[in-house]
Amino acid sequence: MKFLYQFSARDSFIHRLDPRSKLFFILCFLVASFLIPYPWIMPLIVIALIWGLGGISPREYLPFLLFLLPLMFAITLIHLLTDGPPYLQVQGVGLPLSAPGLENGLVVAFRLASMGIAFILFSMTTDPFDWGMAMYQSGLNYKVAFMFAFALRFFPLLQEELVIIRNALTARAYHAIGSKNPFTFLQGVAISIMPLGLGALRRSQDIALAMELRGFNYAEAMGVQRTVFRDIRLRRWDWAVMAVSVGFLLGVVALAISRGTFPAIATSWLIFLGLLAVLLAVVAWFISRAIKG
Amino acid sequence: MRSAASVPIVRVEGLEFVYPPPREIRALNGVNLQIGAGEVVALVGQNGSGKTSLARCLSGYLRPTRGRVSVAGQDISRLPPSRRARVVGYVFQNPDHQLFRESVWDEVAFGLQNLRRPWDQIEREVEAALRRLELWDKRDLHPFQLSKGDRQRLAIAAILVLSPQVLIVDEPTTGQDPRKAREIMDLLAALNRDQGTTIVAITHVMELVAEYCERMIVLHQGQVLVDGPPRAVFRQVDLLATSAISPPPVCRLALRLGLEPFPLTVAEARDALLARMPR
Amino acid sequence: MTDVVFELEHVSFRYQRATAPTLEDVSLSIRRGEFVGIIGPTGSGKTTLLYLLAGVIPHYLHGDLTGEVRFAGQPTRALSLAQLSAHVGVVLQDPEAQLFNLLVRDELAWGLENRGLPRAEIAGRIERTLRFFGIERLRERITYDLSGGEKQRVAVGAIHAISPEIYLFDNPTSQLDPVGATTVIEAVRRLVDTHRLTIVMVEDKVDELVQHADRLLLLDRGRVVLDCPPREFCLQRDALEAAGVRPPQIAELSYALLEAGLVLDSPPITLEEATPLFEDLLARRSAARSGAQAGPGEAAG
Repeated sequence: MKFLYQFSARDSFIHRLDPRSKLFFILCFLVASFLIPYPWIMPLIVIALIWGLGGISPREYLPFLLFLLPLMFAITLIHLLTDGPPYLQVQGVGLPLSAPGLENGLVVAFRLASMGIAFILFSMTTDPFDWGMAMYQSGLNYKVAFMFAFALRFFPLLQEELVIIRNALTARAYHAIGSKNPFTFLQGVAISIMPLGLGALRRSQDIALAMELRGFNYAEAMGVQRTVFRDIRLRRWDWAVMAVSVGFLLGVVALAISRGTFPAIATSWLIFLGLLAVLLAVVAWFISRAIKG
Repeated sequence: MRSAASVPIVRVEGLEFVYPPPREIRALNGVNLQIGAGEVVALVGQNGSGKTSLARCLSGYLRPTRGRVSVAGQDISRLPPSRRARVVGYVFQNPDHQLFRESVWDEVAFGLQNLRRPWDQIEREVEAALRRLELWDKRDLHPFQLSKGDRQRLAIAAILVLSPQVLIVDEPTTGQDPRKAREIMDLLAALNRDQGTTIVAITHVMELVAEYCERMIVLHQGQVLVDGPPRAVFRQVDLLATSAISPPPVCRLALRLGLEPFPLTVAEARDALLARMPR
Repeated sequence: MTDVVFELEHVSFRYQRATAPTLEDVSLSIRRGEFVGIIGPTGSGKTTLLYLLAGVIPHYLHGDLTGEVRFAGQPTRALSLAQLSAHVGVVLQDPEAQLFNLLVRDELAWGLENRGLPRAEIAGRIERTLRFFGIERLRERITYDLSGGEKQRVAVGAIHAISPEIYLFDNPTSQLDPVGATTVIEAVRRLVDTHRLTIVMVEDKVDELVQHADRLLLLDRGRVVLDCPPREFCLQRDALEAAGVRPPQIAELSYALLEAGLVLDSPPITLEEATPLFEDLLARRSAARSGAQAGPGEAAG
C-alpha cells in the first residue's frame, strides 16, 4: 500500500509539466482554497484534474482517500463540539453541537482534503529527480537537491522492507503487529523502526561508497561544473499553467471581495502563509550555503 | 534419512495465490503436495516461479486465495502468531530484517518472552541455542556488530529456540562463501537428525541440494514442475532447463557418459567412473 | 607508457578499529589487459585488496597502511579518488546499493553528469552502453522495479558509460539468483572481449572464474598464497584446502581419480574438458578389454 508517495512513470500533460509550474499551481490553489465559499468543490476539481490531465484514476490512490476520511471526520467533530452558539436543535431539543461549527468543520475538512489530494497530484506525476534538479537549476545546492530526490526514491523500498520486518516479528510470536489497541500498535511500530533504521544505515554506507566511486565529489574536487542531463525548463505550457493559476487566484479573490465574503481572517492567513514561505526560503538558503561552504 | 512411510506434516491442497492489487500477479496456480515429518526438502525455482510465495503460504503469512495449507493438522494461515511460531519457523533471507534487540542474548530470548515462558526455561533454552550455533561467546554483543555470517546464524538461533516442527529457511547461503554455506547446511542437517525437525530450504545452489536434500521440489510459473529425490530429478536435464536449472557438474558429466549408478557427489562419480575401468 | 597497471609492494593494511591486519605483506603486479581473479574465504582480505586498487584505501577508508600501491607508476596516495575513478571503475556486491536514480537512463547518465560532460556526449554514451549490453528495453524502466540481474547489469553499464580502462568487481553475482548471475557473467564476457580492458574480479564462483581468468590469486588470512593460471590453481589441493576453498567440482573429481591411481596427463577442470577426455578414456578401456591390449595404469589424455 503505497499511498504516501508513488510516482507513476507515465506520459500525460501533467507529467510533462515542469515541477516548478506544478508547485506554483498548487500554491495558488491552496491560497485560493481559503477564499472559495464552497470548499467541497475543491477536492472534486483536483480529482478531476488528476484524472483528466494526468491519466490517474482515483482508484489508484483510494487508500489515501480512505485515509483522509477519518481525519476529515475528526476535524468536523472538533469544530462541532468546540465552536460557539447557536446550537443545533433536533426536534426542539438543544444539543451541545454548534451549528456554525458543523459548517466550519466541514469547510476546514474539505480544505484539508483538497490540499492532500493536490499533494498527491504532485507526487504521482513528478519524478523526484526532476523536482530535485529543477530546484538545483533554480539555485539550490546540488547535494541538497540530490539527497532530497534520493530520499523520495528510496521511500517505496523502505515500505517493502517494513512488510518483511513485520512478518519477521510475527515469526517470533510478537503480538503487536496488526493489533487494534493503539498503544500496542505503536509499540510494534517502535520495534520495527530499529531494524529498518539500522538496515538503512548499513545500506547508506554502501551507497555512499558507490556514489563516491562514481564521482559524487568529482565536480568539487576537479573544479568542474556539473551537467544536468535531463531537459528541465519552463516551456509555453508551464507559463500558461502559471498564468491560469494566477488568474484563478485573482478571480477567486475578486469574487470574494465582490460578494463581501473576503473575511478579515483570510487576510491574516495570507500574511501568515507569506511569512512562512519567506521563512522556509531563508532556511533553505542557509542550509544550502552551509553545505556549499 | 527417514523411511518413506512417514506421516505427512505439511499438506497443500489446490493452493492458488494471487497478490492483491496493484500487483495482481498469479504467483501460485494450483499446487498440491505433501511433506513428511522429518524430511529435508529443497524448494527450487527461478525468481518468479512462486517458490517464495509457496514458502510464505507454508508459514502462514499469506492466506491462500484458494485451496488449503495445513501444517501438523491445522490450517496454518488461521493460527494466531503465538501458535503459528511453534509449528512453523521461518528464517528470512536477510538477517538484518530479523534483528530487534540490543544484544545477541536478548535477540534469542525475544521469541520465548513473547510466548511468556518461565524465566528459567528461557535461560536454559537460549544458552542451548546459542551454544549450538557457536554464538555463546558473543552473547553480549549488539547484533549489528556481528559479521554477516554470524547475523545469519543469530537469525536461525532466534527461530530455532522456539522449537518449531517445520523450519523454512529462505536462501540460507546467499552471499556466504562456500565453506560458510556448508556449515549452515551441516547445521540444518544436524537439526534434522537430532530433533527430527522437518526442513524446507529455499535454495538455488544445486550442489548443496545434491549433497544435503533427500527431496527437491521444483516450481515453475506457479506450479510444481518436478518433485522427487535429487538422484531422479537431476537426470531430467531438459525438463530442468525449461526452468533454467542446471544439475551439478558431476551429474551432467554422468549423463553425458552414461554413468551408473547415477552419482550426486564427487565420490560417487569417481566410483562410477572407476567401475567402468577395471584394471 | 608502462604496461604495468597496478603494483603492490609489501603492502600491509589494518583497519582503524581492527586489532589484526587485514592484509599482510602483499606484493603483486597486474598488467594491462589481464583478467585476474581473486579467491579466498570471508575475511581473507579480498575486498580490502580491491579497495586498495581503487584508491578507496587510503582516500575514503582509513587505517594503517604500509608499503606502496601504485597505479600506472604513480602512488595511489598521491592521486585523488576523483582522478582514479576516471580510470578505474568499481562494481560492488549489492545491486541495490549501486542504483540511486529513478530511471535507468538517468542512472547511466549520472556518473557523466558529475564529470560535466556535454549533454550530447552523455546521450551518445547512454545509447552506446545500452546497445553494448543489449538492454535497450530497460532504458525507461524504474530502477527499483528491475530484477537482481538487471540491476547489476545497469550498475555495470553505469561504469561502462564512464569508460574506464580498468574494471574491478567485488563479488558481482553473490546476491543474485542463477539466471541473474548468468546474465551478469555474460555482460562481463562482453567486456572481456573488448580490446585491452583490465579486469580484477573477486568471486566465490570458482567454476566461472576458471573459464575467464588469465590468472587466479588465492588469499588466505591476508596473504597471497597462490598466484598462477587457472589450471595450475585448481590442482594446488593443499593450499586450497588450507584456505577452505573448494575448486570446481570437476577438478575435485580429477583429484579423486588421481588419488585412486588413474593417470591423467592433463586433468580436466571444467565439464567441457572432462566430457571428451573421459569419453575417450572409457572408449579406449572398453576397446582394450575387448582387444586384450592394454595393461594397468595406461596413460590417458
